[in-house]
Amino acid sequence: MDSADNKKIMSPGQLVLRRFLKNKLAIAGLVIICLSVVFCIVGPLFSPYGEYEIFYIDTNTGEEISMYDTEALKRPGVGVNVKAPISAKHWLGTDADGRDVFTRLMYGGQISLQFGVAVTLIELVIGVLLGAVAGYYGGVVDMIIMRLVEVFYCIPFLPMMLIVSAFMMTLGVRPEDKIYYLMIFMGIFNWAGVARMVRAQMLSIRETEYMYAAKAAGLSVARQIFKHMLPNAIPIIIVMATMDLGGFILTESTLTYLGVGLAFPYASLGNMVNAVNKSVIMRNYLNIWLPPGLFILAIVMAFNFIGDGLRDAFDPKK
Amino acid sequence: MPDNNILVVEELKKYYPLKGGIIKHTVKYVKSVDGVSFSVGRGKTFALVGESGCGKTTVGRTILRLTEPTGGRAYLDGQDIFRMRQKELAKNIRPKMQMIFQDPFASLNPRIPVGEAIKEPVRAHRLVPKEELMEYTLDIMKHCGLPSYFAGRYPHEFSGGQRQRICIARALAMKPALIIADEPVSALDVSIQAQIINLMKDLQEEYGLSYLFISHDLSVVEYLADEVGVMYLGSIVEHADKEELFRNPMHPYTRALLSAVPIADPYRKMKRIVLGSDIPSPSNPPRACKFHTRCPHAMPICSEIAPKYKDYGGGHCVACHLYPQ
Amino acid sequence: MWFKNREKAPIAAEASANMKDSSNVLEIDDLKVHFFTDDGVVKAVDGISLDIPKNTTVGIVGESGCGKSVTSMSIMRLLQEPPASIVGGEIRLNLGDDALDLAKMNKDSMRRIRGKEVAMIFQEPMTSLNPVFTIGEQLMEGILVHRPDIGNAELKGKVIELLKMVGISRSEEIVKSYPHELSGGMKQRVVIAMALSCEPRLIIADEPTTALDVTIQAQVLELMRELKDRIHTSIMLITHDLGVVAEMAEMVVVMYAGRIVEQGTVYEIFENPLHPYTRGLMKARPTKDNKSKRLYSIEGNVPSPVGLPDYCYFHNRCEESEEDCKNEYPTLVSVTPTHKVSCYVANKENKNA
Repeated sequence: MDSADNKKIMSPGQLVLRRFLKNKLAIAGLVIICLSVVFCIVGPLFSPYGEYEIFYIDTNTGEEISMYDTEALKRPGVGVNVKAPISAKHWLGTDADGRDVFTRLMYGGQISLQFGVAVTLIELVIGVLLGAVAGYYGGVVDMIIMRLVEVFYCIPFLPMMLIVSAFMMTLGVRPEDKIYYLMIFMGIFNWAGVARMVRAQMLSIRETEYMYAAKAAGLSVARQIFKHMLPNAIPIIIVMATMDLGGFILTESTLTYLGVGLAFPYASLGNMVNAVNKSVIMRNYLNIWLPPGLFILAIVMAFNFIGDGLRDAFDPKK
Repeated sequence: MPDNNILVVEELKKYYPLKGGIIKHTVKYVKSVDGVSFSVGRGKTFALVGESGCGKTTVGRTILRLTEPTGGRAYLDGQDIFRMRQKELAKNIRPKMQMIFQDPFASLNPRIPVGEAIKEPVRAHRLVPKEELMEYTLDIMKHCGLPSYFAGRYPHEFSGGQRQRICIARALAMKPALIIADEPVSALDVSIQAQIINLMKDLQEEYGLSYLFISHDLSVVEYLADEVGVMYLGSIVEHADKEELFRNPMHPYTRALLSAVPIADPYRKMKRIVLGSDIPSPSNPPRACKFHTRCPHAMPICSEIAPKYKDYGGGHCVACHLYPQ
Repeated sequence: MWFKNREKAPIAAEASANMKDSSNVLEIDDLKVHFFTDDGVVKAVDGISLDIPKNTTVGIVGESGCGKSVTSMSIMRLLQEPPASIVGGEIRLNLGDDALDLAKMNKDSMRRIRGKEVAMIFQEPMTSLNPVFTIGEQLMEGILVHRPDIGNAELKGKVIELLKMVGISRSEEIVKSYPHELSGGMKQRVVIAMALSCEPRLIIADEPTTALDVTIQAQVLELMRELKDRIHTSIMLITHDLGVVAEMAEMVVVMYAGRIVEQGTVYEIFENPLHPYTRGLMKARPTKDNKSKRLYSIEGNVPSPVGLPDYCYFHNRCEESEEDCKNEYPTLVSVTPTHKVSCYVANKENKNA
């Protein structure tokens, strides 16, 4: 017991953090995510344009007119400034409807990140809770919850979302609110994977000797689950959450692309990429569809790097 | 109920169902523990000795109700443990009966600092007023040879011996009357084993603890135990005072166990009783005397009639046909 | 099978070596194995030298973290490199006509040594057999790797013979069974049979009986002793149990914190242990003969492998330490031609005697 007293005490969490910070790729991911968050949340405050502000151009003078400038719009020879090239005014040009691509990128990224985080949180709350209960109690409780998990696994996701979307349309949900309902539904459809994973973890943690010790000490069930078992399952939960987060952002893009997600005129990365549908745009106007595509790629990859980095950091054998 | 016993176990049984068939149903039972009776005296140590699969660990866990017993009775201080509901159990029994496990690396939660691990159960049972809790914890740690600056550290920083001290401190903090120690030293290095055995002995004297000591190692048992029960495939085959057992082992299995321990003396490459074949599987134990398949003295009767468990004087009980039934 | 056609990798020229004494199977000379970790350099093995003579059992005793397993793994070159690295020394293996320095071999050519010239028996019989292959398949594979041209009938005969040799009576049946169908003792016999399959010059047994029950341990130890004489091999027996060493070994090496503190014949070590650590280990062992009320214990813990002091590593746990012990780490000094100890106090006593 003569080990150096002055040695810095490190909790397991700090050790993980130290290992994580040594992983260059994970740090790159973290930086990308931080920059994206700043870009999407702080960016709009500095942008002079609105999310769905359409720009017109006076073909006689070459002067650009905003859709809010109703007086100027009445002048003859004014047309929509579609597919404008990259310029000092429009850093990434304008899209097929004459809206600033750069500004829409900020709003679109905001929606995508929101979507990813919200869905992940919902799936975690439901999944962790049900998984922990199933894993701790086992027996009948486990049986019921696991059958429920199987049911949710069997629901085909895309058709279901199409149906949900159709329902919302008939119920008259406002297009800007639709995306929030979608988040909730996606969370509900995705908890099964988390629950299964958490349950498996709990089952193995339940059989460890320190859990026998906790039981023998007469601790309450809630304390056993939340203080002793869940912290040991957290590594796998965090890793799964970061990986899922990237996936959900992709799904959001897919849904919007299919027309289920956020609708015109609001921006999301998915409907911005949607512009690629027209072959003219695909061939000649890279500035319209490539930036949102790259943005999605960057975010999703960054989340995966972070997830990988966390997994390696949690696993000291590596 | 004689009052000088802290723990009395009668006819303890634990069967595990074995499922099989196309539709999963119970085909038969693995009789992991099959009618074990013993008692632990106050301030004394009772040792259960046996090899893997003999059910000694199951005995410990069933008494603590970490697994539910199939049959039998167990009394701690006169209270029937097996009839209690979980709530009563947590209140009346848990604090009085603690456990130390074999693997000090698995028995501490890696995410809870040492001081907290020792403190937590005490707080949960309100054994000590809140203001004195920290002081109490440090005092217990001191008694177990742990300096106070260990309290804020996490288990991963400690070696096996230190961890086992932490586990002992955690058990001791509950002020238990009985500690069930399941192979507490077999995962430790030789030089550390001695420290832990001495610590357990010191604490026994200081706090008047009773131990149920579960081990496969007879030489460790000889240092700690007052009474010894030798288990083979779910039942106790021999039971006696420590001195009596080591001086006059009666059951052939006990003799084989005693002679199997390698002796650190190169001149004494002794003639030992090497048992033939393997330990039979508990799911398919031999008939009658379960030891007859490996016994060097097996007689025809051994595979036909189970020997009676009889007292041959002075509390030395054996179940073997070598002695008059 | 797939491995039959594999080309043999050439053995690098720098790996050839000369044995100091041709009656040794293995000579380890000033071997240093370091682990480069986040917390610093761990000198797991720090300059050990030992010889394993032909047809001899050498016991290596020490506690966890003393470097005994790292030594065996570096002979087999099974260490994960990095973080581990053999930073110095030689491991000379006697191949009869010539010798090889295993420390300088490349990983590919090591494959020809493993199993054929040096075989290993691991601690956990439960995990050292692959659960998805039958016992027969695993035994055959080991033989086929090194003797690809062996005939089918001969191969089968050889497997049965091996199993009989390790005392498995129903060998025809066992060949077809899977590891999970066997008990721990049986599995360890199979593992021993695998180690014997190519009649290696050296068998490294890393805690071969620690995971087994005492009565089974007795069987396995007896088997190993018998087999050693039968196939004229040497055994490097790694264990923490002095009893096992006393029973099995002819030579004993005691290790502490990556260094050898004492070595000698089994009689020298047990009759006249010189290093305080060796003595402590013997006294701390609960034995039936030791009738004292309190067990002797070495106080303190094994030192952390990072940042070891530059004096004797055992100093702060040692009861006999003196002023001199704060000087630089003591060298191994020969007491008799076979008995060496690395301790100032022991040496002083010896000079006086």
